Amino acid sequence: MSKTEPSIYGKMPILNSATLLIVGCHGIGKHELAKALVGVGTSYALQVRTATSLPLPENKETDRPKIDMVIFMIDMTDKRSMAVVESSLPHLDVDYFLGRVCFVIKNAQGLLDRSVEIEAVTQLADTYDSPLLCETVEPGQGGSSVAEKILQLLAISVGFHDHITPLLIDVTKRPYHTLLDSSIAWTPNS
Amino acid sequence: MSSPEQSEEEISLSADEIILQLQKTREWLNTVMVDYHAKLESAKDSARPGNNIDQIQERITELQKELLDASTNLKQKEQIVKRMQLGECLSQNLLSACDGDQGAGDLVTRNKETESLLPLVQRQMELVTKILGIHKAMQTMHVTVGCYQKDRLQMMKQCRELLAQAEKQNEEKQQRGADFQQNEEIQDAKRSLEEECSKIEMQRHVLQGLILGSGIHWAEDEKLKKLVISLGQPLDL
Repeated sequence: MSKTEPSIYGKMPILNSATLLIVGCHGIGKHELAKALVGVGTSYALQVRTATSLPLPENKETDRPKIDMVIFMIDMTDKRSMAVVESSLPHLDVDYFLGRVCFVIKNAQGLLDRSVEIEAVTQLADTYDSPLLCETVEPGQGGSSVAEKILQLLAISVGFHDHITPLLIDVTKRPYHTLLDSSIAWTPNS
Repeated sequence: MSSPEQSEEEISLSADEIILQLQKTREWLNTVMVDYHAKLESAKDSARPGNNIDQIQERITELQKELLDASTNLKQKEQIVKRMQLGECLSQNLLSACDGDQGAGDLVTRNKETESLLPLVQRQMELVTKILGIHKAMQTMHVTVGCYQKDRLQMMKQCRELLAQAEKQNEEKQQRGADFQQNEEIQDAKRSLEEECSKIEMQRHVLQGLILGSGIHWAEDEKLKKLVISLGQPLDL
């Protein structure tokens, strides 16, 4: 089965609608996050799709709407999740990395259970210049705040905020020439 | 309220909602269009040959600054336009008058909002005029205070100069006094002067003793009287 890379400019946008793609390995909690996102309630039609890796299968390309934002989920206790994300990132169109990609990490609090280094995750976020959000351990606690943050980013990337674009947010984060030297991860509204 | 008016109100509400929806759609389409234009421009830019990484980074930084400035200016202009539109709307509501073609018997009708807003606007104008007057007076006072402070500083400077002069003179005087104490010739002259004074004093006492011991009636002679009285007074050279 042939695969295709999602492209931000490959399809026409749909009025009053937004589509999110959550990428993560099996059992990481993609559907729970999707339910939390849909549960927040938005004034526009929100569609959340999930995938275990990139690139996406080509056979469903015609039915697939334009993907406005991609979320990569990483479980700090599962090295496999990190490997899936690292292998999927090169298959994403570079235009997504201007404010349309977000990393969500799970189980970041337990030091003993951690098998993925936090420095590796922050390095990844810095390399791809994308925000890093933490999901808390207990289900239901803090999940809604992550969903709200993601939806704020989504609303900006789709264009629902007048004259506010992902590039403008990127400019206000920090100057470009400090990007390569900086090792601090940025999270919105933190 | 009667039902035709109620349905009219509902229609006007939904018309407002429709207008807002259309405005939001227009803004969204503008944003999407700008995004696509930016993508086209970036594609043209990357087609330029011979750009190295440093140049690209510099260009990106310049473009980021331009984006920030342009975004700020645009937002500012939008705010100004919005304010002007709201001001125009408010003035139209407040200053709307009856039609001149109507007959003398027709009454001028104003809604309750206009009646409540008019006195507030008038009060605001009075307060603003007052504030401007006070501000002007304060500015004049500021200038006066500035002049007084300048004069004060000038006087302080003069006082300090005079004080410095006085201290200098005092020091010179003390120095001269110290020099006088230490100078050998002056000390010798002082000692010889004191010796002469003591000799003169002794001679005065001896003369006094002679006159009083001789038994003459010195009080009867005017000159002798003066002499004896002067011999009793301390020596004043």
